[in-house]
Amino acid sequence: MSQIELYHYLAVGAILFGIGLVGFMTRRNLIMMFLCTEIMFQGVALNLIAFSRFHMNPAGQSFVIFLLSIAASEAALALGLVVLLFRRRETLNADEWSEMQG
Amino acid sequence: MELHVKFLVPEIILLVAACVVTLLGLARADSTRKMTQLIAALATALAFAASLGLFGNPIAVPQSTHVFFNSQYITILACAIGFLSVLSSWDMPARGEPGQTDSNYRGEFFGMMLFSLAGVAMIGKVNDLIWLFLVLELVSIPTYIMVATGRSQIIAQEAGVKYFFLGALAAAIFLFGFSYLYGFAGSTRFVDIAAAFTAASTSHTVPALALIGLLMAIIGISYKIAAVPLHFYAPDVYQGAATPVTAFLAFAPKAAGFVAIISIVSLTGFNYASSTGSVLQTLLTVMAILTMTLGNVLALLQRNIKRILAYSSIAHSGYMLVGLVAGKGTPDSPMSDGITATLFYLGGYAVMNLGAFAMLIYLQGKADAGEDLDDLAGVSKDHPAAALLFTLCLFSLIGMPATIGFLGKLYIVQSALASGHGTLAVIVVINAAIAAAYYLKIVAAMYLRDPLYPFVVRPQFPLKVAALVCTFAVIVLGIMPAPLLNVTNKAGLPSGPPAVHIDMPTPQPLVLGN
Repeated sequence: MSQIELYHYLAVGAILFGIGLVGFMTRRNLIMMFLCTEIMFQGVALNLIAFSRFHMNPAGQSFVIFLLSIAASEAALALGLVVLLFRRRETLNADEWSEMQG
Repeated sequence: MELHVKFLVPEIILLVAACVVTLLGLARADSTRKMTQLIAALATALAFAASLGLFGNPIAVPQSTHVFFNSQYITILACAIGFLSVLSSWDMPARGEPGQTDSNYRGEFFGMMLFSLAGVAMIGKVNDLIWLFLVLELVSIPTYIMVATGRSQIIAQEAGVKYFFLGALAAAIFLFGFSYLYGFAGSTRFVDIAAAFTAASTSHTVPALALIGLLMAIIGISYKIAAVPLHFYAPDVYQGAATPVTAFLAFAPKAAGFVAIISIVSLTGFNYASSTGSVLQTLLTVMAILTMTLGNVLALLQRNIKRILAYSSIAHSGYMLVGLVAGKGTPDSPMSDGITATLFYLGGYAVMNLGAFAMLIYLQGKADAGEDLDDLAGVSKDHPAAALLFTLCLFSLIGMPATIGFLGKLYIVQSALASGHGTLAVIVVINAAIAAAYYLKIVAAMYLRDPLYPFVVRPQFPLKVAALVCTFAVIVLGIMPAPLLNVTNKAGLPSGPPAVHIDMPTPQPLVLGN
């Protein structure tokens, strides 16, 4: 059997990214939508780590550290916004939030 | 390390002030909290002085580490527009009637604004993918908070959530592109990536990976500039956010996004336009045409002024993208330089748009007033000066001669013609004509109709100063563009690596080393 090569990692990264993208488009619950963007970030992180190993340099890994910390701060912000919204109107369904049209 | 810090004096001033302002916003005494906007204004003024090098700090970043070099212009622009933005959001965030402002959020609001401005000021100095990502997030994340907490109406929260979720999605898209660019070049530094592109194109082996990376990076960042395909959030967010926040949104993410896109394009060399059929050029052309046409046509259908200005903001992004399509031009004819034209337009748009928004803020004395066209009916009777300033800024947005908007469009069209994109130039001109209709609709409402009810204006002195300075700049720079043009011309220097032709990809064998 063949060894695990770079494109295997890239494929998994792309699949994670795709799952996240499809989930973001189809899910209506705000928390689920946010988790979908997190899945997309993880796909990117996997790409970066695989490339980092492939090129044998640490830039990709340090990129991942920064990416994860930004993702964490975005998660904090997302939870804050979701709580704010839930207090105003007892639902997290994205379709219920459509005051503005046009 | 030391080497880099001394180029970041304006940004450091802004960041320190942002921390101070955020902390002061938590103070118990109301009087302390009210100092925050004063500190914010002082900090942006100081940073502006620093960006001009008045403190003896070096302003020119060493060019050897940069593919594209535009640090000083963007820093000056960020600090100047930042100062005017602080002035025009002087009583933010207002809740309810004027005079009854709830200052609970005041410190946070100006703190977030300064954080975002620091990001915009820094974006021209970026020379690394990681840095680019961090700076783009530094610009964006505070704006999400500003939208959601800027006012208490429920649509502000709706707008904030919409803006944040789609922003996270866009960030994931451009990060995916960045990861492929890193994978292609094996380095996150712009110079290395540009060298990899040059090497690959001379041997005609640009892999699909690199191309996908470029395209996804540009499409993801198009969210920041509100361009097709990620433009659709703009009207809702602009309408939902408090008006001073909307004014800020039309500048900060857009400026950062354009510089980021220019940087990404610069990785392949600026003369990509000469290689007809280049995928990048096609993408930018399609984006430019769709963005300006869609923005202008949909703006015609709106009655809410903030939505009109949102669609106009989309349309102006389209014009600026035309400059990118035109590319770097040739050294012997400076007028063909589309990148300089885009940067000039960016500065002009920031000034005239902020002027228009400042007048809108001024006329919105009541919390919900001044958003519909009817609310502006007959403004000229009671407030002739305000109507005049508003009209001048709108004329500049239309592109009337003797305003900065006219020169901006002129340079864009010139660069498009000089690089052989005649059709694109015609589309720009047609769009400018369509745009006149909806801007004139606002002017007509102000001058030709009778007031429906008495106006309540916001009498803040700083707001008037901001509006006056913006309108003054619109006219003066429209007649004498030399100062701004000089800085933008310098901004375009030096030109990137030699032109790169992107061939359609041939797969490169990639095997994980052990």
